[in-house]
Formats: sequence, structure tokens, C-alpha cells
Amino acid sequence: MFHVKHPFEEFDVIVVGGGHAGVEAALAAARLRKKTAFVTLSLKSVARMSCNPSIGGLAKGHLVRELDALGGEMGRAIDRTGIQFKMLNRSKGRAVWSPRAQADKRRYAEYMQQTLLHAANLHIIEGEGTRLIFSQASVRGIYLKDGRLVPGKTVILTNGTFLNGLIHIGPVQISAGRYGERPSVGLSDQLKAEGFVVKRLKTGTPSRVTYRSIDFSRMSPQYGDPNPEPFSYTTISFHPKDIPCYLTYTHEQTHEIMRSALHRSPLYTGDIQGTGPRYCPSIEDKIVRFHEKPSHPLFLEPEWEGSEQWYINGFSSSLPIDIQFKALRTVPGLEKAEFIKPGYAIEYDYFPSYQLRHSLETKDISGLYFAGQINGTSGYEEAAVQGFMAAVNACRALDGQDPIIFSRSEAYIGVLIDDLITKETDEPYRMFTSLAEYRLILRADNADHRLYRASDKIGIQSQQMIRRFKNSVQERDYIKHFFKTTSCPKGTPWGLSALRSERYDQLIKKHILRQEHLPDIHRKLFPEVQSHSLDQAFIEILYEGYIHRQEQMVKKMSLLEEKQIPEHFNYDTVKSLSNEGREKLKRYRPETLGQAGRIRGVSPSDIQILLIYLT
Amino acid sequence: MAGYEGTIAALSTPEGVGGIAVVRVSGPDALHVIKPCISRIPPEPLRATFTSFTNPEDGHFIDDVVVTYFKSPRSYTGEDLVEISCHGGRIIPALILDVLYTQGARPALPGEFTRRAFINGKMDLTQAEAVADVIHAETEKSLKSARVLLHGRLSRELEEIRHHLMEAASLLEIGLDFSDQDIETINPEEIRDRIERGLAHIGDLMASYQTGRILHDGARIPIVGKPNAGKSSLLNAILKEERVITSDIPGTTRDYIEERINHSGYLLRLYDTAGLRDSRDFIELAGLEKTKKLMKDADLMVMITEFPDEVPDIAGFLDSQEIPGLIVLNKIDRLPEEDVRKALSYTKPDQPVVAVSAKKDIHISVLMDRILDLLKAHYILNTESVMISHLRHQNQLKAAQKALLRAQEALKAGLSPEFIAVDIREAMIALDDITGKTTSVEVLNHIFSRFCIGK
Repeated sequence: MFHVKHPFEEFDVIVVGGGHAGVEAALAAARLRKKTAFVTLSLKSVARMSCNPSIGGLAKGHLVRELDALGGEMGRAIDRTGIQFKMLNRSKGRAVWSPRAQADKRRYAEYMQQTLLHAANLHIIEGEGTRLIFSQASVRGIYLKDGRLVPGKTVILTNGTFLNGLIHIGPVQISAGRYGERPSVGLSDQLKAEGFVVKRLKTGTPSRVTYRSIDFSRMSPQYGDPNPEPFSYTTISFHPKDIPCYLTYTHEQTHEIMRSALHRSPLYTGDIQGTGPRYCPSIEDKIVRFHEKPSHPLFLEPEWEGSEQWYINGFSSSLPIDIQFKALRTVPGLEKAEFIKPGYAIEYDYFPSYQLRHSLETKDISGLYFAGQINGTSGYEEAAVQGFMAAVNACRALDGQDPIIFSRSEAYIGVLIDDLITKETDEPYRMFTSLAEYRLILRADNADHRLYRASDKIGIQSQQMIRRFKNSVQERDYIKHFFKTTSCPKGTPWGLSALRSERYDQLIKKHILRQEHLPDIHRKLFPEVQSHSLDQAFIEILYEGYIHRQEQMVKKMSLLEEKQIPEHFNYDTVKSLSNEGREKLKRYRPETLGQAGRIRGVSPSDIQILLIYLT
Repeated sequence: MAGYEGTIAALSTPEGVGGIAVVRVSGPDALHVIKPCISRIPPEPLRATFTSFTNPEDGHFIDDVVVTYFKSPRSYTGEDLVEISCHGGRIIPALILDVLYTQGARPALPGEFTRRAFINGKMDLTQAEAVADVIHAETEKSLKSARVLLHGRLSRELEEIRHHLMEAASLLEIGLDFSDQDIETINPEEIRDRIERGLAHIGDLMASYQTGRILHDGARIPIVGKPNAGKSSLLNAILKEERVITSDIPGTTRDYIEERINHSGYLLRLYDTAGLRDSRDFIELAGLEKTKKLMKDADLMVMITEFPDEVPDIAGFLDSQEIPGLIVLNKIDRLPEEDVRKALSYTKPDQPVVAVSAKKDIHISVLMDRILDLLKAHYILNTESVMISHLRHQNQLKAAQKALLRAQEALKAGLSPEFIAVDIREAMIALDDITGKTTSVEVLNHIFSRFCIGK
């Protein structure tokens, strides 16, 4: 045995990994006044965006808003450093509006690093965690590669793509965590030896080209919104930059070049074992699967303001470098493109999340939590919310409190974690609005109203913000009551075209009183309330029928959702369960009957039988 | 729950006289229970083995039997199952069952074999319901329609509807979750078309409910007319001619009498509305609550008139009905030659009129054929197509239809896709309720299979 240096006192929470999950986890734990260690390979690379330079987007924007309402950092960080803001789906209903921003990768990472450096209770340790310390199915700390021991009561692993990471570029394979960064080896082998199931996933990232080599005159610029909305509820004054991205297209010749080299792609030679995401396929994948499409769009995005490095969204590839080059140069505006980095595919270890509880603590080792890509998700936002929730629940466990678990009808965070734990993923999990069955209730615009109580309970968000959220809910209810009980006189000052005096809620439902009338109504009828409250009252009345139906559905389902299954319930005693159902139930060990019902392979009759058994 | 466990045994063939009876034993101990009773153990599953069955307690021989062993999960119930074919009659099967009960099996509860088959995933709900139908089928036709369900035809039909809805949902969702990508514009026509096709299909199934019910429960045919018009004698004449299946549920109500007959494989339920208050006005009669209900649920109406005292107002009669009607001119045996000719002149094939004599049994079989023709003309009594015969199915279809109609309206009103998606999802859940299948969100999978995603 080598000699162990023991330079640290015991921490309450150790966060291993400095990606978006790790950052939120470390900040949350420190803000909950827990003695927190943040173990990262190097502070310089903390909060780095390894793929696309953007935050938010469809359904992901919802996650950022929720995280912000709960006191996470991501929303504030992007509001302060983003360079283009846009509300997606503006032509659709409010429930699917999602904020998205182009990020300045450098400033975003710097902002996070500074925030970490200034956080109280937070101890930053540069090093590589290689071996966890266990004692009787509890975690006790972690050894670093250099032999240092970091003792701690809880450990949150947020290692991202670093666990046994393997990069593929054509036939070339490089062992790496991210391009140019070492992978993390040892940890997943140790966990495997402890009985954890480890699987491989694949993801990819496109090539980067130099700014000066792009002919923008052959592409169409894409700007953000003229009146952008911030992500964070705490952002009051908001005047961000609006730096454009550019749109161009591949064509037949591009496809021809790539097709001729398919035999050299590791995806087709069988070198890559992991499954890649279908929503973010490589360009060669698209060409093969959708061969009838003559062209595919490419979005060129700056990696930061004034960046020499531009990201080619839509051109993720693991073909050999020469082919990527040649193909890209057929694209209008990229004829003279110079490469900075080629696109690549990366394979990494992840732990199928049925090994976790809804608190994100592992079922078998107490005090050990997993968050982020290690759980098979993809995306900065998905990682961030998990890091935050894992830390909150680790801290609550230390204080002997129940974990905070969001239901599928409360938050996208709840949908995400429940999906992870209940559904088998064979591709990286990404948030989509269609995964939320109560989509009309879970809007990006009402995250504060939905979550202020939970946020208060968690205790990270400032009391001032909690009061504001709460007031807004009260104001909303007051305005709704007013709208439902008051008639709007004919010929109002705000020029409604109503023919006769009619109740406000009726005017809203008949689309006579519309969104554009709200500022006037705000000024003249409710000058004292937050405009947000009026907006919420308006939306809830406008969609009342649908919202009511979704609420009814939530009520109907809550019977099963609330029915707990004892932790060590022996499914073998229930003889009448189907074989497949029993096997799945034993593997997933669901916490409630509602969760059990969502496991693929568990039939409705299995649920009926369990219901009878458990009653 | 404990009440539903263990190894069960029961007689699977009708009780009473018969050449062969089959006793079934199902459950984890099926083989164990029977082993001590037989001299030769089946060497492998699915091999019919001839052996003697004795009572292991006293060594008394009971019967020569054929024993077949079905190994779990390849059996009707999905459990270990043993079938014992023995001689029929009341005594032997009862003796065998007694022995099995002392050896550790317990008597099966009604429907328990099928229940186990359902629980073990051997059949879905519609199939389980169909098994009950097959067992209870009173005529060949209803047996056939039940068999169509049993073979999962309804499930397949529902799967087809579901497919249309899945397509519509995918098109809606792609416009929401991938709107930031440069995806080929979605044609709202296709969404509309998918919803319409789903609705049409649901409409067909719902329309088949009446047909299914007629085949399954029998066609309800009240015989109405003035007192002494000969309703009872007509019914008697019909009954003499046909084989009676069930003779009435007597006593409970004196309002009308029901007789069930099997005519050419169709179950007909004839109601003698005698006992109703005497009245010249048929409409007034119908005002009575019970009769009203009977009329409302009727599938065909038979009206007896006394010719020529009452000249049948054919057009008026038919107009007052939503269902097919048949006018019977009775007592033609008592009419002078000339009136008979006149009566017969009404009874052309295109007119729903038959001239008969109930007393003298004239033209009764013609009457029966006309009844069947009218039923067939009015209802598609095609046993080969899928029919809904359960109220539960009908209600779920109604719910799905309601949701889809709402979706259609929302689409027309130009609502954003997420609202239409709510309705489509509701419709899918309603349909999945029929088969008892779990609704999982396969919409995304569908999108990925159809569209090029990822910029």
C-alpha cells in the first residue's frame, strides 16, 4: 500500500466533476451552508460548453426557468453573458414557448468560475477522483489520483463524458474526456466491481472553422428577438447583445463525398458500440437514413463574441478528417473553410438510472449521488438540474429531511428524473415538451408560480424573490377573480371591439381581449401589480378549458402516484404477476405504483394486482 | 388476493350426460396434484397419455382417462395445466374432482381459468371478454362474432385507428419539439386526414355495436297490436315452428312476455305485449312507460292488424318508426276469398306486409323469413367483420370519438398544436383502455423514424 496523504478535514458534500451538473451541485450545497468540496481536473475548464454554444431551447428553456426559480445559477449566468436571445415557438401557444440564447462560451465559463471562487463554504480541489471509499454500503470519501484522500459524508458524481471516454475520428481512436482533455479511468471500473451496471453511450460534436474563412454573404443571417426576455426571474434590467448566426445548406455533392467514404466511418465499421442520439444524428447518419433529402441545413454559430472559432450546427461527424474537410468545402459560404477542430464522436460510460432513487441517490450505496451525463442524459440544462437536485437532496439527507421530489405534473425536472429512473434509455436522454403529459400546466412562463413553495422549502432562493413569487400568485388569483366577475363596459379606453358590455373572461375566451391589450389594461386597471401576474391570469383564463382538463387528469392519476411500494417489497410473493412485469419491477424497484405503471413491460393487470396486494 | 392463488380444478365441459367430460387442473402444483392418481405419468408436455385414474387414498379405480400436460407458459392459462378427459355423466367427473380436491387443488371460481389467462398475458381484455362470449353464445352467429374478437381482430382494428392517431400526434409534436430545425413544412391536411380516418373507423365500430348486440344478445322484436288481434297466437305459432331456446323469464313482470328463438342461426327475442291496457290508439299504448322502453330498445317492430277491419296505413306506420317495421295481416283464414286476394296484394316483396293465419299456421315461415330479411337489410349482420358487443367498448369508443371531434374543432379554429395533441392523446388513452394496453409515449419514436431531426 502506498502512503496516503490526508490533507483535508471531512466534508459534508463532495462534488466530483466540473461540468454543468457539478457547478450547480457545488453552488447549491455551498449555499445550503454545507462544507463542500468541488473536485475538478482543472478550474480553467469548469463550466465549459463542450458542444453547441447555446443555453435553453425547446423544453430545455423550461428546465432553466425552473432551475432559476429554485435558486440555480444557470439562468443568471446566461442572462449576463449571452449574445443573442430568442423565444422559440412564439407562433404557437404559450405552453411551448421556450427561451433560448446563444452563449459566449468563454464569458459563461468565466462567470461560473468566478461565482465558484467567491462562494462561501466551497473548497475547490484540482485533481482527479479515481477511487471512492465505502464503508458498509455508505460512501465515505474519495481518493484522488495523486494519492490525496478527500473524506466526506456524501459524494455527488458528475463526471460527464469523461468516464472511460473514447473519441473517434474516422479510424483514429483517442482516449479522452473531451477534445484535448484526459478521460477519467478507474471510477467506473470500481463501481462496476461494486455491482453497478455500466453501459456505453455515444454522442458527437461537429467541426469548428475559422471566422475569417467563412463567406457570410452566401448565407442568411439569423437574429434574436427585438425585445428579448431574460431567463432569470432575478434579472431586472435586460439589454443583451444580438449577434447573428448564419444559415446555409449542404447539397448533393456534399452528400456524395460523404457517401463514398462511409466505409471509413466508425459508425458503420462497427468500431463504435454505444448508441447515439436520434435527435442529434451525425451528418452521415442523416445522409444514409434520409437519402431522399437533397440537402440539410447547417447553422453557423460563433463560440463567443468576436470568436475566431465558429461552430457548425448540423455537421456532427466521425468521418476521417480529410473527408469532413472536402465535404464541408462544397457548402455555399464554406468553400474556403479552414478547420480548427474536426467533428468527432465520443463514447463514454454511463450508469442506467434505474439504479437511482428519485432523489438521485444510488439505491445501493447511501450518500452516493449521480447527476448529469453519467445518468445517460445529454445537454447542459438536463445536467444542471440534476446536479442541483442531487445536491439539494444530499444536503437534506444530511439534515435528516425528506428529499425534494417533483411529480410529473409539477415540473419538467420531475418528468426528467422520473423518465430517467423509470424508462430504459438506449440513447442519450434529452428533454422534449412531448414527454410532459401535463405540458399545458408546465409552462416556462409560470415556473415561479409552480415552484415557489418548493423553492422556499429548499432554502437557496432569496426570501425577497420568494415573496415576489408569492405576491405574484396572489395578484394572479385576484385578477382572475376580477376578470370572472366583472363586466367590461362597452367602448373601453383600450379600444376593445366588443359590441356590448361583457365579462372580461368571456372577452378573453372569444379572443376579443388579446395579448396586445394587456399593457393598456395593466396601466389602467392594475397599475400596482407585476405585469407578469396579469399575463399569467390572462393565459390561465384563455386556456382554462384545457388547463382544467389536464388538472382533472392529474387528480385521476394521483391515486396511483401516491400509492407507495415498500422499499424491499418482495415481488416473488406475488405469484400472479407476469414474468416480464416481475423481472422489470425487481430491476427498477419503483417507489410508487404510478412509477411502476410507466415501466415498459409492466402491464395494467400487473398494476391492478399490485394495487390489490398493497391495499 | 390470497383467494386467487393456488392450483385450481374444475369441470370444463357442461355438467350432465355426455360421452366425454374434461376436467382441468391449473396452477403451479397441477402435475403434483394428479401424479399420485394416475398409473402413467405423461412423459412430456402435449402428449396425450392413456392411463387409469384411481383414488390414492383407498386405491379404488375410478375411470380410464386420457391425461395431457401443458407446461407453463404454453397453456391456456399460462400456468402448468393438466387436462383429464374422462367418461361423461354426473358421477365420474365429480369423483375425479373430489380426489383432486383432497390432493391439494381447490375448486375454481367462475371464470378463473380465463382470469388467469388474462393475468398471465395469454390474452388481452377484449379476448378475455370474447371467451366469455363464446361460452355464453346462444347461437351459431353470435358464436362466430365472438370468435372474431377472440382472434384479436378487435385489437388489430383498434391498432389501426391508433396508428392514424400516432401519425397525427407525430406531425403535431414535430411542429412543437423540432420547430427550431429546418424540417419540411408539415401539411395540416395530413393531420386533418388522419383524424378523419380515425373518426371514420371509430364510427364504423360504434355503428357495429347495434349489430354486435343483435348477434350477441339477440334482436329485440316486440309484437304490438290491438287485443285479440292475435299476438299471442302468433307467438305460439312461431314457437311451434322453431326450436325454443329459453322459455322466458317468468313472473317478474307481467307487462310483456319474452320468448327467445333461434331462426337460421340468429337469436330473435319476441315480445308479446299482451296485458297492456286496451286502447284503440297505438300511440297511446306506446305512452306507457314499460312499453316505451321496450319500443325504444327494439330492433324491429311487428304490428298485427285485423284485416280488413283495419286497413293498414303502411306509409304512416313506417314514418313513425326509426327502426324497421313489419305489418302482419292476421286471420286470413277467416276472410272471404276476395278479401284474401286484397290482403295478398299488399304483401309484395317491396312492402313490409305479410298476410298470415296464426291459428291455421298459414305463412308463418314466410313471416319469419321476412323478419330476417328486414333485419339483414337494416343491419349489417356480417359475422366476419369486427363488431362491438360490449357496452364498455362502446363507451370507450364514444370517449375517443368525443376527443377527436374536439381535436377536429380545435384544428379548424387554428389552435396551436399542443392543444390538439391533448385531444389526440385522450383519444389514444380511451382506445388503449379497451385492450388494457399501457399507453406509453411512442410518439417520439415515431417522429425519429419518419423525420430527419438534428441540425
